[in-house]
Amino acid sequence: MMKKTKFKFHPVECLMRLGALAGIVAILFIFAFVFIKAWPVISHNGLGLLINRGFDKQISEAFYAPVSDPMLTFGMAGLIAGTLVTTLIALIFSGIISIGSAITICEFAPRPLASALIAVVRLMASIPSVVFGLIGAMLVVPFVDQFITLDIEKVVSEFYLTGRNLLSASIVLTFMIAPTVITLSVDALYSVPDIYRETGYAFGMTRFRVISRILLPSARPGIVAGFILGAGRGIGEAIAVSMVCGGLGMIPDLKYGFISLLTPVLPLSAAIINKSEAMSVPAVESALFACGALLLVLGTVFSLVARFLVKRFSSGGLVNET
Amino acid sequence: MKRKLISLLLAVMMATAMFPALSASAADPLSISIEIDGKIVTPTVAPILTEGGTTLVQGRFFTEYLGADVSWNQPNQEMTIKTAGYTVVFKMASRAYTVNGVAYQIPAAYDPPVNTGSAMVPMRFLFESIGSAVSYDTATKTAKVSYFTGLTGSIKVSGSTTVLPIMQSAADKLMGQNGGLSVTVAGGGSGAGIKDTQSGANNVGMSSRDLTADEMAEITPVKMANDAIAIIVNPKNPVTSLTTEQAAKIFLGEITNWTEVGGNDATIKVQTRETGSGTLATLEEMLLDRKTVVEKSIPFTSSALIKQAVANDEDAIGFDSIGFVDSTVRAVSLNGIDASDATVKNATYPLSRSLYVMTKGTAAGINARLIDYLRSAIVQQEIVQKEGYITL
Repeated sequence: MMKKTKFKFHPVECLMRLGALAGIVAILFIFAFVFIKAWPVISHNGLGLLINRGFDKQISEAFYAPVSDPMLTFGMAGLIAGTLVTTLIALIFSGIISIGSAITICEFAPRPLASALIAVVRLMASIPSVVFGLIGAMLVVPFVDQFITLDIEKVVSEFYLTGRNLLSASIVLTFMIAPTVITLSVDALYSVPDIYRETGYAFGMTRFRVISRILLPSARPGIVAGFILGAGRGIGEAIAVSMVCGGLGMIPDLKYGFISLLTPVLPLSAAIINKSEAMSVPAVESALFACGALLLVLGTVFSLVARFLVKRFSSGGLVNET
Repeated sequence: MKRKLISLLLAVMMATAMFPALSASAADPLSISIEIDGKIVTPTVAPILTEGGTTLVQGRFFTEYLGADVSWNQPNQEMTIKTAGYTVVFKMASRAYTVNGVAYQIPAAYDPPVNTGSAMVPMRFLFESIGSAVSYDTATKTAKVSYFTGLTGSIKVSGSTTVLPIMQSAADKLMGQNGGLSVTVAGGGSGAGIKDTQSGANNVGMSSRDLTADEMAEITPVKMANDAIAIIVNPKNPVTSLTTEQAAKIFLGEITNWTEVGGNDATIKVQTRETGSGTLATLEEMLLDRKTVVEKSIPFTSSALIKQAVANDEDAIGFDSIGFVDSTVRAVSLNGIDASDATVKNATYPLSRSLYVMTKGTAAGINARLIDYLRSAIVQQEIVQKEGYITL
């Protein structure tokens, strides 16, 4: 047996502390690096960066601007809208799919089928995003494209209607987010003690009421955590989205109703990928780092809000889960 | 006893068989092989060993392999070899030759060049005249020439983003076989490349446009590849030809329906490339008079993706380097001229142009070697063609 001494130098412990420290330093370094690189564009535009539009044209102007007179005016409102709207729609879609699947797996499916389904879902979560992008480009884009008829085309003049748009990006994102949400929801549902169910049934509740009134509220913190992780993936996902999003930083215009779902968008992460070809120009490089900085800020804000939400939701739930 | 006899006989046969083989090969000129930068290169006409003991090799084949321009003057029986750094003239049946205008003499111990239907030049002087050394390995009967190896120093390259992909791949390959060589490649565009060459900010400039007479006063451009852009449509689209004016209007968004150019009643969906693409820059420069492609056009990050988009959409129009065009899309003819290797090489196709590298004055040293490398058979076949450009 080893004796624990309080102030003894312990190599393994030291190594662990060093590892933790390195992680924190790396994150700080990333923030610092991204913001330093993005500073020329951020300082030049100020808040306008968040409000103005026209990123596509500005990148092109910056690329052709003479070295002596770089063009630093950028407006990323379109990109921010693209990121938020695609993620939001994907969250709604995947919410419907995921909660349904999770309940099926936990409550309805027989044990062997449930474990098989869980295995499939876990496998889906580990598929590389470029594969999702490829499937999106080969299947989702033509699928969405077939709904575009001449009548609809005549309505819109600001952009071309193709299969590469907000809807396709959201559909692809849905299937990337869903496995995470399903996995966490399933874990949360499984962790609801059986006695809760039995109590419900003992009171004469129907299966539906047991699920909607007892299981889902009890599992809420876990499900919300799943959505938060999913949203994080949605905001940061770049490759798959860039392959189907249409590549133009437009803000969906609600006056078109459902047709606005067919607007080509360019989320921040996809912008970094798509415009990287022009990165040899310092102004473009700085603009793309500004996209990165916005993503970091969005991600941070999101996880802080999420933390707050989880705390609120969990206090209302029947089970307190961390 | 009998077995011993047979084996002895065999041994004697083998021993005697070896000696004639060795002595014969010394007299047989065909068995000399020429190794350039570690790779055996076999010419179309085999080397000759003269009675005087001089090895003559095919002048045109080897120097063209190394990226030289070779011309033949029939009445004077003169072969002129132009590399980036040297202009060498060999006269048949004469020991006199010139390098960059300076007269030299092949020593009397060697036989002069001879025309056997192909100009055969003494191997040593052929390679030495263009700045390379030849060593002979008697054991393997191999002449070793080092031309694109053993280079040291650093080269700064900048200019046209159209030339950049070729230059970058070639530089990587050249640095891979020359540990002491460093080539840094930057973009900036043709204009910047020319300016940098004039000011000495680069060693080698890249340009995708012809130089003006003023610029030519200081700078020596060398053509290194051809480039052309094909305007592509879906194979189901009935439109097979456009005028350059129509094509420009389509990409600028002034013509928006296919009926205006003789097609079906459908919106023309313009597909484009992301900013920074050399192909897009070329299109805007050559077809659109430096205006930008219509803002709502859908941008793609690669040649393959824009091609795929056009292949999948009957109403789409796009553009691609001519080397990438295949049967999934149709290249429309412009002003009645189809885009093909031949029409690009003779510059009748409207969207074709030459790509140049250039130096201040005549190129020398490693700069010249880099330019020769770009023009060499290796880069032309393995890089220029694969990147979707058209070889010299």
